[in-house]
Amino acid sequence: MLTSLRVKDIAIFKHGNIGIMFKRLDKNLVEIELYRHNNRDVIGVIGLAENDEITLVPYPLGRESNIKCLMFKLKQPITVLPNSKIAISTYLPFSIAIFSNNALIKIVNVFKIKLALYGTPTMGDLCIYVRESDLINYSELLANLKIILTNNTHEALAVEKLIMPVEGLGIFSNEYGDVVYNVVKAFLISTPRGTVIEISTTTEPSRENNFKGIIKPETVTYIMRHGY
Amino acid sequence: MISYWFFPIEWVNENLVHLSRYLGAIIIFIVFYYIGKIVANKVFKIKTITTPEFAYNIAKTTRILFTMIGLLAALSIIGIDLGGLLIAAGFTGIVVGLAAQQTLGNLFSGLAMLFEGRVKIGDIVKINDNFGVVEHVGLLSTRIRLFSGEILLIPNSVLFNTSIYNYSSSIVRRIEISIGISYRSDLNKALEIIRNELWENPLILAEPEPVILVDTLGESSVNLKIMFWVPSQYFLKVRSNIIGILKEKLENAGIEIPFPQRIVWLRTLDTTDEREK
Repeated sequence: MLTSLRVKDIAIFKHGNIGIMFKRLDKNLVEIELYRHNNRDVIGVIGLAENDEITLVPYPLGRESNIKCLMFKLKQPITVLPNSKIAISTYLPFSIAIFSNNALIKIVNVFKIKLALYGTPTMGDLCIYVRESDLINYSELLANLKIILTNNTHEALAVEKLIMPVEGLGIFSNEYGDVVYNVVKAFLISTPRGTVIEISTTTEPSRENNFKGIIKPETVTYIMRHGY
Repeated sequence: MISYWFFPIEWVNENLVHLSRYLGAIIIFIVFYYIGKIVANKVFKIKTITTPEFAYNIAKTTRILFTMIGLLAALSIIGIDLGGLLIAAGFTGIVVGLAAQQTLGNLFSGLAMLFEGRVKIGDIVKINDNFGVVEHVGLLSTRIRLFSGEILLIPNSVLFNTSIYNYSSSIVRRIEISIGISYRSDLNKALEIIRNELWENPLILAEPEPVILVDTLGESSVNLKIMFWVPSQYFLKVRSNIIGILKEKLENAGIEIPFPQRIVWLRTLDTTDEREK
């Protein structure tokens, strides 16, 4: 949980260079404004009484959308040796979910979402696009993500991008407010049609240290057939 | 008098066998008709795993098939020789087939299209300069609601032999825009502005990456070709939006988008000298 607040007149949640302002319009309506690097966007109006408490919770990026995959482009290709395993520790942005009375009322995407196509226009998948190199300039709402790459083939392979099933991404948090994603496993497998990567999300947090699930992840598998 | 009153009973007694046959035939026909209806309903419900138009047409065919079987069974019970009937039906079929060539052509094209899945309900298609959304795919014809609001009914045989642009089968589409900037304008600055605007638009795909080409050196401008991909459903919206934004941003940055222009040099003759001569 990031914070909880009541909106009498104005309530603000601030985190680094971003801010979410809740401005009461009347007895029942509250306007939500997102401040991001000196830009202001009105992102919606919600029905909320003065006594209702709202809770801001970290939420997996893109999970609310109808886009099923997330393309994570690594800073540089990583070569995995045959029959070996490496763990990558990186970051992935997260969104903010606004809950009231345990009901999800709004998702605020602080990270600027771009789309990418994985595969062909007819057979491929539309993905949310995250480039690891862009995250250097984005220090706000990032959660640790551990990716375990396992090469089950007999040749060294370079991996440049990973397609993760959004549905399988979950969020964990600890008592200090640290936020982490669940572990993602990627298996490089030889098939008669060439090498593919089988991406599988797990239900374990990316870091040890008493992390508890906020948005529970699921084990979902995605096969990367169109290159990596 | 008494015999008059007993006449119907006698008639019933004499024709009991025939009556039971007729009754049996009617019952068989009704039973098959309802079985056909139930099976058709069940088939129609599989639209969750197949396309609605496929389910609708298969359900319709199933219903007709069961009704036909019921009718033939009923005729057989009544005692009509089905062999003779089939021979007669064969001859009738040839005559009807010749007379209804086009209708049968439409029917078979419709069936072939359903199995091939050429168009689906909801697809955005362009057929011979007609743009619209497929509303219904029947066994004989296909109904398309044009973007101008009219309904276009196309016989399936025509549709089967026509090239169709299906804009819904791709999840993304490429947009191509040509922009000319004046020779005096800073080309690199223009390229940077365009690149930034393409990145700022959330609906323009990051991969495949947008491509900006310095295409040609035209008569009055340096022509740029901009190519990028968007989700198919946002094609027109993004295209219109980005053209407007690029015009505004380039103009604000002092980059001129010139209209076609030609510099005409006029050579004036010294007419006074000519006159003196």
